[in-house]
Amino acid sequence: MPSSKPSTVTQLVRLTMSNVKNPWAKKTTGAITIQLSRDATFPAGDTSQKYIIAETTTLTLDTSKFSVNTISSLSATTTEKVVQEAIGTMGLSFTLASQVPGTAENSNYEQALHIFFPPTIDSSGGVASISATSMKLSSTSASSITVEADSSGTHDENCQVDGYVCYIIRFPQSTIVDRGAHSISIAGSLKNPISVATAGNFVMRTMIRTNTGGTTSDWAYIDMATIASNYKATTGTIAKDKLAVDGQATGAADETYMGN
Amino acid sequence: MEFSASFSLDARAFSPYAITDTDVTVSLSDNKVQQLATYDFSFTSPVPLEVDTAGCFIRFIFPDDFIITSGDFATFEGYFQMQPSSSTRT
Repeated sequence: MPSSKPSTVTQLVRLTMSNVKNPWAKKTTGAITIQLSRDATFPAGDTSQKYIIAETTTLTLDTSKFSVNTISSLSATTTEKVVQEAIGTMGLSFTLASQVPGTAENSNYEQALHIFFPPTIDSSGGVASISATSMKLSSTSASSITVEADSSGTHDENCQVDGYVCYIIRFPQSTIVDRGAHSISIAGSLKNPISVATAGNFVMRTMIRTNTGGTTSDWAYIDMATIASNYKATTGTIAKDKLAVDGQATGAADETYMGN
Repeated sequence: MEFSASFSLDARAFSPYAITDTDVTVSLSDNKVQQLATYDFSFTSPVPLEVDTAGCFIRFIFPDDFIITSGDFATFEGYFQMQPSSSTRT
């Protein structure tokens, strides 16, 4: 005689979670595992355990498709605007909409700022001297902020192309990079490009990664901005004695060249 | 005289059913980094889950970089079929 006791059997499952804080944007994907299990006691009388009957194997969420926040008001100023001259001092100012957290949120966080310079900037003089101590940081110890050239292509594939200039500014783990207006100062090795209307784009990213037990994760992106640089040569003067080819400069007038 | 011998089956090496990516749908209300969003997971189990007879547990494991501490489990739904538990038995 068939049993009349009903059994509830489900196959379609839906779970909704609210107020989940999105992760950072990464080039790698994070695996999400869903396990279905049921209680059973083997052998009889033993402690009941959960036995997995089904689970995901490759479910991933491609966080590289997450949209990063926008760095606003990114602009560059230079004191030396003559083409092919070493950049006297370049200032990059920008505003962050996000706070890049420090160890207060996770003791394993590492924070960094990545800068991609327009391709025509010349860095043959070596790594530029970049000062980030005027940024809004929880710690402003200049000695603990490091700058390294990036030729990895990890953050921008052009960084590994000869002639392109990329730098990573690393902050101490405990540092919080706050929201709001920031500025960094660049001096030294960079040289202005030739005079072109649009030399290329500055690209700036804030990044974070974890370092757990000596294992570092990929950098994840938080904020990003791109600005087109615009290098225009200013009018300059070539002194008359520089024009003289035979040492007979007498009577020669200074010549001028025009900017564009 | 023949004796019966005890025999145990070690099922630890058995593989659970696989839930493939195509079985699961994940939708987000907002995909901007570090924003609070609502996540909606829907999937079809490859094996019937007998809720009232054997108990059923569903475990979600997220990557470390998800901050779930502020997450709220808003709803959990199962779409049930009612059927006799022993319809083929007598």
